[in-house]
Amino acid sequence: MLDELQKIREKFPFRYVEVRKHVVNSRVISLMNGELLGVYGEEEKGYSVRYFNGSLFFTSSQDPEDLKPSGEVLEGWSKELIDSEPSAGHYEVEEKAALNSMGLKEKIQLLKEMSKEVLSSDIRSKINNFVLTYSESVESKELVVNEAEITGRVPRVLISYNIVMSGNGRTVNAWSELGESGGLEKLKDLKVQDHLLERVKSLDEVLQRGKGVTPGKKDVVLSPVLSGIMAHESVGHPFEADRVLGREFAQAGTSYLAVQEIRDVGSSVVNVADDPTITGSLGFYLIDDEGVRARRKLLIKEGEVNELLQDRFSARKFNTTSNGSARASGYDREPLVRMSNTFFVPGEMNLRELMEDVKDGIYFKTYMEWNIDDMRLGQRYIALEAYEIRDGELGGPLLFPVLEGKTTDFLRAIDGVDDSLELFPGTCGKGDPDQGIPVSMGGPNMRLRNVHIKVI
Amino acid sequence: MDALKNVDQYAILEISSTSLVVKVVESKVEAVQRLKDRYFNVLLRKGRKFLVTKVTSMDNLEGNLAILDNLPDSKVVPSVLERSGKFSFSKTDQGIMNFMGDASRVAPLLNSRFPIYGTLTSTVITKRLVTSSGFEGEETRTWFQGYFRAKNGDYSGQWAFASTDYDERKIKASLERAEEFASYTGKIDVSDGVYDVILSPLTMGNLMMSTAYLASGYSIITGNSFLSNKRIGEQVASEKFTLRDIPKGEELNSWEFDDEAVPTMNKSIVERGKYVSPLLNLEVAEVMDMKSTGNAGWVYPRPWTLEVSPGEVGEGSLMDGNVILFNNNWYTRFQNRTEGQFSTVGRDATLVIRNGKPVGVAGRVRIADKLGNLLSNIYELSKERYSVAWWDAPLPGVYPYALIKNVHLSKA
Repeated sequence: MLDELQKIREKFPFRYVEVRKHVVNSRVISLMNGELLGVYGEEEKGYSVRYFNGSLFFTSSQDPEDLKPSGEVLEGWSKELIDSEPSAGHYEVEEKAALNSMGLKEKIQLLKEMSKEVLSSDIRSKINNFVLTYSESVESKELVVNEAEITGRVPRVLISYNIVMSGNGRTVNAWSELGESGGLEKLKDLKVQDHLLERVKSLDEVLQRGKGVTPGKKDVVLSPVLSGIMAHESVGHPFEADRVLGREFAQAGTSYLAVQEIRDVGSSVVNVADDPTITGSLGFYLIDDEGVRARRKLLIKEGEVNELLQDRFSARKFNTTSNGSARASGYDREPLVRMSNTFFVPGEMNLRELMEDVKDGIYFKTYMEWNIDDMRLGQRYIALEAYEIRDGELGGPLLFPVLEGKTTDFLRAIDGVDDSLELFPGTCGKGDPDQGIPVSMGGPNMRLRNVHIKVI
Repeated sequence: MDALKNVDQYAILEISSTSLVVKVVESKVEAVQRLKDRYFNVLLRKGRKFLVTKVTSMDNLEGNLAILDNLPDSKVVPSVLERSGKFSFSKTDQGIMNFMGDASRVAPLLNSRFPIYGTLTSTVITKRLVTSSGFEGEETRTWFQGYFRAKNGDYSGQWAFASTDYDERKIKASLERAEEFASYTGKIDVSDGVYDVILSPLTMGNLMMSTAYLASGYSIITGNSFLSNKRIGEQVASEKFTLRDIPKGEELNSWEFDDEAVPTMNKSIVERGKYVSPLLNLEVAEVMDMKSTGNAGWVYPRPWTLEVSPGEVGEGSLMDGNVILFNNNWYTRFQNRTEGQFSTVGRDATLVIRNGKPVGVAGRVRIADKLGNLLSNIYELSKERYSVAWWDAPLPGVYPYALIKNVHLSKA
């Protein structure tokens, strides 16, 4: 079937060879304050070969004739790999409403209408600037791994926005994304308009009515936005096996699992999964770029380290099997151990129950800043929209509380998760050359007991 | 192409590059990557309609031309300079070309006390720009860059270099400095508070990259910059501080013309603490009633390569007294670009220096402050400067060490 790739494969007489044709076509429409800022198109298309010959070699070009083995003899850091039989097959995400079923003009008009409604919101604060961006893309892959042939096609729709708002002597910047894999039906599913209007009103409330925060130990309830970024940063990244081994030490960093012999990282209600098989997710795939069938991985099970994200090379070093976590962002990037869709697994409580015995706490709804050290231990989140919780009831908006602490302290402080699950889009960076790959992250609402709250 | 006759203005920017990237893990070569890329960035403009598209072949442009007619007018429209004629520039280094042919040369260079991690990258890059005004420019450059992180148990040090020629001494010097930082041991607890800090050239590289992007005219007109509400000539930083964009120099990412065929120029963004200029392309300059600074980017102006002017003291004398020195940082995140409020996490050796001597290494402390405060509180800069770029500070630049007073640190 993939004769072109098989011909390239024949030029590489090695035990393990991946040949990939990788195409990403995307279109971006950007509006500023309701007026068209620009339309941008991008086509990335080319071929790559990665092979193992004492060390890992990777070569890429748009012209398959350029792809040839190189002559260096090197004793590499990776000495072996799990060379289990690759899985052949095809995976695809359906466009229920094709991305091209609406013309560019109509899409721009739709975005204009959304912008107009946002800009005419009945609020007391001023919207200084509102940039709304729509992106659509289709990622297609053809792979030959040893002899197995694999094809995949994933369309994606993404809305991102940046709002600068001022009022009551304060200014806020809010940036966020909504997105899923699929066709134009996602614009409806994501309820973009409702989200934007609610967001602007909520930011107005923060600016106009926000109260200062008293620092100290408090109970905190994190929304799925916060539990999502925590799942990605504090669990997903440090559970990448190549990172634990040190392969990203000079780039995206290390992992607390590389330096601490710990199994119980969280309380018994903490379960974190990475699952590429979720329909509609941004990190969807069914066979990875090393030809290994994808599956759901439970990274943390009832608070204990259960499984790392593995590729063929890390799995050999851990004496285990690959769980299908190797992906590359484009034709000129090597496959690396990557997250797909990483989330805290929901529990059985509801949000009301999470809050009802909180006497003095804070609900973190969205954040404006986060960061984490390169061991993925010390982290910081500054709320953009946060609300007081007093005697079990949700109160008024608070001004920018800071949650800062260690991963293990936070995961051990979680004593309740509700039964909801929301996923949010993200782009995950790693490798050199750097490669940003589409992922989703999320979770339920989660309650953390007695954590330290700071102020800016 | 005949089809291009149907537009008012066009620009075709072809980028061709060949790179060798050698990734090093535990002082061994982990991956040898050879990457060959060629793509065309195309700007098409008809009145106030425009389209920017990236294609792998000019044959794929036809569909885009059809789209253009159906677009509404845009608010900010990219333009190209009325400049015709041919321009050609080439500056390549044979040492870099030789290195690209044989990655096995890396292995003997990795002798070190501690396990070394990092990347060496060599690139030959050609940029060609053809515009509807009759400009045909071509420029070829070679780049060589690397960064190393040395691991000494729980401690680490990192350094980098960025160069336009192959020089093994730069590799060796980077390894040595990474090892020197990694050799400091002993943990010292640093609590939240206000400290005098020294930022290494690597840390400066990260924060100056942010500063330069916030000085882009696009960031300013959209209100997404702490410079948005500053007047030209206003004091925004310490008098000791001068930040320049220097594409006409010898540094990596130097170029002779920008994406709109405007000749690049060296210019100050901040000169002795005074805000001198945003970085501009033709269209953002028009919005701001200014002139292009040769920093296009269509729609989004961007910096090329930066420098912070040197100070008058040796880097060693900055460390007199009680200070905290950041060898490196990462994950710089702004919570509010309008206010310049951000935090960034210390990485590698964050040295606690008391009475002029390193006494240990702080845990992972973060700087949590306003960028404007940092720039205003620059107290002294070293006369030694280093050309650096690394994974989390990819924009090349030449930076001194900086002593900054009263910086807010926070610790998880």
